[in-house]
Amino acid sequence: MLEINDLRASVDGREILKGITLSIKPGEVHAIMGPNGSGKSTLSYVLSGRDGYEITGGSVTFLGQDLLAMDPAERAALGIFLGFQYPVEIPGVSSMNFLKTALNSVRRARGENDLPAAEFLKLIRDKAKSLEMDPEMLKRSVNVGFSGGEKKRNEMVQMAVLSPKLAILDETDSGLDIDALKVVSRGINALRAADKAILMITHYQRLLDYVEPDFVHVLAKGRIVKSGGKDLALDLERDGYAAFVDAAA
Amino acid sequence: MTAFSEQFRNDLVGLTDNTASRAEAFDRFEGLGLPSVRDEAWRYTNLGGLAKKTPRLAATDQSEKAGILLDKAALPDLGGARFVVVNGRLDQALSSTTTDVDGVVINQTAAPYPTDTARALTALNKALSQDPLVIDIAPNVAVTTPITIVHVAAQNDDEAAHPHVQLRLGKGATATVVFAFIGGDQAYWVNAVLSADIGDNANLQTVILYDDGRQALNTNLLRVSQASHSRFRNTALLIGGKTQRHEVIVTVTGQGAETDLEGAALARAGQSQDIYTELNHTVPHGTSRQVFRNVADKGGAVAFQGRVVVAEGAQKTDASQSSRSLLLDRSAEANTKPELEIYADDVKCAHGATVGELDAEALFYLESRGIDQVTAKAMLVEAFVAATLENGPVATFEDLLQARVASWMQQRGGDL
Repeated sequence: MLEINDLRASVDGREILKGITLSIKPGEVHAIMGPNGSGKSTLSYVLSGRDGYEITGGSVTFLGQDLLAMDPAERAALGIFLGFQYPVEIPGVSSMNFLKTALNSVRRARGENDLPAAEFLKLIRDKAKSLEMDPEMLKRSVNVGFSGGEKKRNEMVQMAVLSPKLAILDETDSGLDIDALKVVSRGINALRAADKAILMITHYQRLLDYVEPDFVHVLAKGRIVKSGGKDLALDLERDGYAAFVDAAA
Repeated sequence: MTAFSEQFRNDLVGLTDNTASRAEAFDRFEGLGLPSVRDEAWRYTNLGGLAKKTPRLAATDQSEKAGILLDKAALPDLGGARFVVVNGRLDQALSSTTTDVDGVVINQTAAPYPTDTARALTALNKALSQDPLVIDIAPNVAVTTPITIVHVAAQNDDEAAHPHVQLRLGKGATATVVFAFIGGDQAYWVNAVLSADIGDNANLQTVILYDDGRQALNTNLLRVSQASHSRFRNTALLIGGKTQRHEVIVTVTGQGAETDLEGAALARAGQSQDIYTELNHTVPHGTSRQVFRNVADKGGAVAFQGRVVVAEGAQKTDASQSSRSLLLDRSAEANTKPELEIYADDVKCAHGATVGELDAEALFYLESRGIDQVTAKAMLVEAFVAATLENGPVATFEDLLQARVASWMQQRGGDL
């Protein structure tokens, strides 16, 4: 599904990703863990197409297509979703309008018709309810006045509505209390399916207690320095990143 | 200024009423001279073209042409009385029956000119305006449906019109008035004076759509005086013409009055839009709030100048002003200049002015959800100006304003 091959990327001439190779197949859940500054967020932005990153080498194909040649909206239409570490507040744009425009954009790009208004409302209500979000909040401007936990739940509502093929979740667990973490984890687990994949980027083990990964990778200084099963996360939690970072140096 | 004098003598041939006061007003205009960009208040509107090619007064019998322009503009029917002013003069045929509401008097004859003529363009308006439309609303009358006043410029190239509207609200009266300026593609000039005198405890809400043709010059003045505990709110959208200026001068003469000025200007290549406000707090306990959001695209220029003058005795004045400008292209131009003159020592005056670009984070957020860049930018621009165009007095007309902004972004299309 996603093939990352020797990916290198720089910001302002400084190389952040120094040759990442990773293969994700449908149905799999991968976790990338690493210390601050290891390139975790850069990887998620490069995959979703944000400006400001120069690709200096390597390739990324998604469902057989050259992902790096597409703009962010095309990637989303193809099935990529980025869960933001810091969801953006957009005053004046209501969540409802945002979700409707996003969903219909993605549907049109796939050659489908717009979702009729009644079906859209039902979809939103169902998804909001399952993520314990008051639908009234969706009448407000996107993320404006939301708490940290509410913003992350809103990310999960968007993900559920757009139903992507590959969800890249950038520190979705940061800043969550235990109740919010459970709700968000439920949102992630609800996406698990044989034809979908999830790439979780996280600093801590605790999200992995709720969303069990098939593979865990350690990212340090722009490279994946170790890959393994879910037990690798436990080793990291116990021993810390230092040993891996030193190994990468 | 001889070209103007000569033209004025020619124009006067067709104007048989008030010739003495017209001549006096014209002398006043000549004495003051056309405003120039060297005048601080006119820094961002260049009237140089008028001196080079002095416009003649437009003929006002243009119902047919005006009717076509009106149909094209498709303004919503707000249910109330509708007045259509063609090339500066009220057109009976295109207007609805004046009004059925008790306490509303339409008076077109004996209108004392309410403004002093220290402003050159007001003096010229006085010299050349025809049949001012005067609407008197009697004390304690509430006009519940909005009154619409459409100014149609069915003018030829280098023709001028000087419309003049006076609204007078008695004590405790309430009204909502929607103005629209529309016109053809000719290089016309419309120089209107809209005047409102708001009595004690009266409440006037106005909306002005500036949607002139692409070669037009519009130099409108909205002049307001507010008595005690009156409320005034104006919302303006500048979105057409070659050069548009929205000038608002409010003088608060009674205590406890509230003033709200809001608006947005959107300029694209070759357009210049200038919002100039002056709020004179002359007595204590006045509250004023100003919110403006301007957008300039490639080759367009927007400006906001906001003067707030708090007189020595005007204690406990609470005045706020916010102006934000958005540049959609490196070649766009935005100017913003708050000017506070405060002579009282116990007042609250706040102002904020910013000029910036679209928020790249917000843009990426929308795009990452599958929304293409053109649509995402349109959503952000519409949201930016919506702060001033919503929650106003006339929902159906606000919808029109917002739809106008949306179509402005649509016309922009993929030209990023």
